Amino acid sequence: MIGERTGLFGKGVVRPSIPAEPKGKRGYILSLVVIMLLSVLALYANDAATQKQRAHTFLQKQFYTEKTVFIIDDMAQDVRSVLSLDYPADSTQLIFNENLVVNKSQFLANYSDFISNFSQLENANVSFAYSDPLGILLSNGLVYTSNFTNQQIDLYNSIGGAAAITAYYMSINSSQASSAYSLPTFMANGTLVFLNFTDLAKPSKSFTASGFVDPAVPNQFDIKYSGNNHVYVNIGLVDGRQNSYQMQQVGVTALAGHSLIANLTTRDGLYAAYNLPLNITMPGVNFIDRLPTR
Amino acid sequence: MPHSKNTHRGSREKSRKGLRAETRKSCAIQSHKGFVALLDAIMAIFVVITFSGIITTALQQKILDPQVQLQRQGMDVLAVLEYSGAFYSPNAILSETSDATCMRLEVYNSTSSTIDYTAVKAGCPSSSNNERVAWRSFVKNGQFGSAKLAIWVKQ
Repeated sequence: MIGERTGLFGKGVVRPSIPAEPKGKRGYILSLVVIMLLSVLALYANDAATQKQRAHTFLQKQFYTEKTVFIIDDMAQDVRSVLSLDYPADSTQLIFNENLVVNKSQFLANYSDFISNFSQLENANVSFAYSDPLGILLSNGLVYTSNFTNQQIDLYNSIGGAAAITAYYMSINSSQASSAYSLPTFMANGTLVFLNFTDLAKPSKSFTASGFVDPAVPNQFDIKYSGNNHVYVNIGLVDGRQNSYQMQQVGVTALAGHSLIANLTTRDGLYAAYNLPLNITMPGVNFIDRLPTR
Repeated sequence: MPHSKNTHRGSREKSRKGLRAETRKSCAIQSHKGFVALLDAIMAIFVVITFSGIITTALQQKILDPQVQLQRQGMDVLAVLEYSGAFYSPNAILSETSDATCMRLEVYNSTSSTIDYTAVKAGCPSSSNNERVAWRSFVKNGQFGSAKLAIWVKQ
């Protein structure tokens, strides 16, 4: 009788029957379970490996990004040796310092060759374009240019209107003896100007002068040299731009150092870069932008 | 009748013996099955542990070459040396770095071929097989130069 089991010694116990599964089906279920288990493990392993690869790629890119920043900082330090700009976070001052003795065109040409070879040591490709004048472009529209060919320095607002500057502090070093100087007409108010002229020659004709000038009209400091040569410092209306600054050497290359501090009316998120389009290529990183000043 | 009784008794005896033999056989089969199941379970556990071990080991492995950290440190030291203008007098700065690292500074001329100056951090050997190298360029008196900092973990 189906569903009835007989005891070992003939004492039958009637129990409800459980239909026995075929042996092949049991094996199939076991295989399925094993395959599912291994599939889960394989998926887990694959996911773990993918995450690991992603993390590796991310960290590698991060390292190359750090290296790019390192190279940019390195180059900025090198270019700063001829022209630098500092703008401390807690002040509204722009501080330009310039070496007027170095031929910047020649310097940048040589530096371009040097840095393209040097960057090979760091497994990077670095190149930049250069042209005279060397300039610094600020995010507030101000532009500082240093033209070695014309021996002229300018600071002006490139986006129109008067430069948002309340004061100019100039410090100029001359390696040749000046003969005389003349000052602009100072006013009761306007843009504050302060000139510290240091004549390194003997006998020295150093002087300082300060006062307010009208930013809407031309104002000129004239430092005279022998042979009717001049160093002009123009502040106010220069080349049709109000409250601008210009320093010019005419017939003489007398100046060795030039420092200009400009007091801004405001500074919000200020950013500055040299007019040197830079291209840095490393695995996973390609930086194409101007060289920051710091 | 006694004969029939004996015959009946004999057949019962036979039946009992047969049942006993069958039971023994069944027990042997059950035992064999149990052994296979145990072996199967052990193998399954072994496979799972092996897989888990491989995955865990893979996850625990360091993602980035630890030597990269050395190179980062080297880059920082070179930046400090340039900001301080100390490529030709680096000992004060090198001695401020971690005791666990050794460094060697080489300063080259513009063509990066001739060594102008070398300095090794105090208490360190002059080189190691596991050096990481960082470079930095600089300008001095209008001339370009380059500095190489080799850095390694102190043994």
